Amino acid sequence: MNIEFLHQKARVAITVNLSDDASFIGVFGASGAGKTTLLRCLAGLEESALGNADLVKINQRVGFVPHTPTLYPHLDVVENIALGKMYEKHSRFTVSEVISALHCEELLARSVTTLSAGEKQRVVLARTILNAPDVLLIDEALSSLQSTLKHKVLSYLKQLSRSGMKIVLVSHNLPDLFQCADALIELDSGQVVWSGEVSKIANRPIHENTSVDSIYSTVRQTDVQTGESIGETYAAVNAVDVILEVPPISQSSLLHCFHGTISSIKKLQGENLLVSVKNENEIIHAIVSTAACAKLQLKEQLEIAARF
Amino acid sequence: MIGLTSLSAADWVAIWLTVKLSLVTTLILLILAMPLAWLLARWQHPAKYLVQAIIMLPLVLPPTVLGFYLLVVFAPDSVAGQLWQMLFGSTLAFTFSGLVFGSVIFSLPFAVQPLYTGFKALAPEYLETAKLLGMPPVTVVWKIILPLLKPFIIVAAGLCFAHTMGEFGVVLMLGGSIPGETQVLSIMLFNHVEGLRYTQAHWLAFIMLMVSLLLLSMLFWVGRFRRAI
Repeated sequence: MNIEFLHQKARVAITVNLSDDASFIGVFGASGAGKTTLLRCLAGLEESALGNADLVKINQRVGFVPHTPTLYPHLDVVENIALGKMYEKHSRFTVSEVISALHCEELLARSVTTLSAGEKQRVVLARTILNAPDVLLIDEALSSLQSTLKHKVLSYLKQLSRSGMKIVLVSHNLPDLFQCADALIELDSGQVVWSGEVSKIANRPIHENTSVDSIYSTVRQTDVQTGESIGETYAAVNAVDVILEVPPISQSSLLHCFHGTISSIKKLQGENLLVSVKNENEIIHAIVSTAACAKLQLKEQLEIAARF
Repeated sequence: MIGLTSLSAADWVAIWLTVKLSLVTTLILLILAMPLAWLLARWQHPAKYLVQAIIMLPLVLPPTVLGFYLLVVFAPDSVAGQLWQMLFGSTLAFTFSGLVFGSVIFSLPFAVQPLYTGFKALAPEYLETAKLLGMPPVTVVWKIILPLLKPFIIVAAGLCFAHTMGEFGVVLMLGGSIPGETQVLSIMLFNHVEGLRYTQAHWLAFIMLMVSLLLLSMLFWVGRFRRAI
């Protein structure tokens, strides 16, 4: 899959190559990185953008859920949702199905102006899904949703992507993307800095200014008894939550223990260091303070265990 | 109601003529100002400010200046005057159609400005969403743009109506005082005062005062809804 855009005004130049199998793409990056511009380019809303994407094929219909929910104030909630089906008679979705999947039932009798941001986002999402787009673009539109509800909505989106709807979700929250995305794109200053499968997140380049909270690695789940990997189930681990331990290591929790050698030690913001531990297949990142690093006498090639 | 009976048939003709002039002017202005305001709201060019200034000129110019230039430009021996004569079969001066033309130009800022503000306040996302949902452009205008702009349209219409009703200078320059053709309320009032017919003058002035007050109160009330956009 190829996505290429050049937007002179917004200074965004995006070129991505992703596997064609990826039907759910997550986009992340700092504010002003060009995430919204990318979605608007994909939706065909940026006239001054040059480029194309095989993600959206000719004659395919695009649905766009912007960050600020656009509900028409002169229409009520039901009329707003119904707009999704009004101009797409052949939509495979029914109003009641979408409403119940997004838990909008109790919102129907309310006035649009009294809805909270999260409620508006659900109504806009319902309207857009009802329109049955081939590609659904969502810009941070789940950010105001309460956590349990967000996970329900995310699983519904995942289900939609399995049934053939391509989805691009922009989010600041990496764990949300891990839950449903097949592939990820990281943007910074209008450029793609990394793209790839979710399980390869540890390979993403990390520099001094990378936000400490956003450093993740994915580790294959291991069998408690044998210590061997279990299929393709990955655990996404935030580098902040990883604890390093130098041998000899107590055999207390095989499931969450990763053995390897230190492949690199990098300086991050503040007094933090990023220690990358590598075994034959995988990398796990850990954040330690400079003091802890000195105390443990960490250095490259040192054998070490990482717990999380 | 003794006073009202003191109004002559000619007064009632003037009242009706004024209402007719205001209605026709308002209708023409809404049709004209809508696309104009839309273009101005979207147009990004330094020349925009010049065009805006030209549209706003009647706000600051004495109406007699405007009337004078219209008389000059549409003089029967000028190209514009000949064209006008071809279209309407009469001269611009001393006719109702000429009066409508003058009023349209005179009240143009009152129609363009509220609609311009409305179009500026209209979030582009509303239109983008409608387009992506597959709404045909004509439906976007009827179902989205016009309902969202309703408070601004009402304000523009109200201001145009009230302003046209109260115009004097342009009418004086263009139309003179021909009963049933160009003799509107403000001219009639002037004639009454000149002829020392104060009862009639009082009534005409009172009618204009009340209508204007009611119209403006209504517009301020509608103004509350502008926030809803």
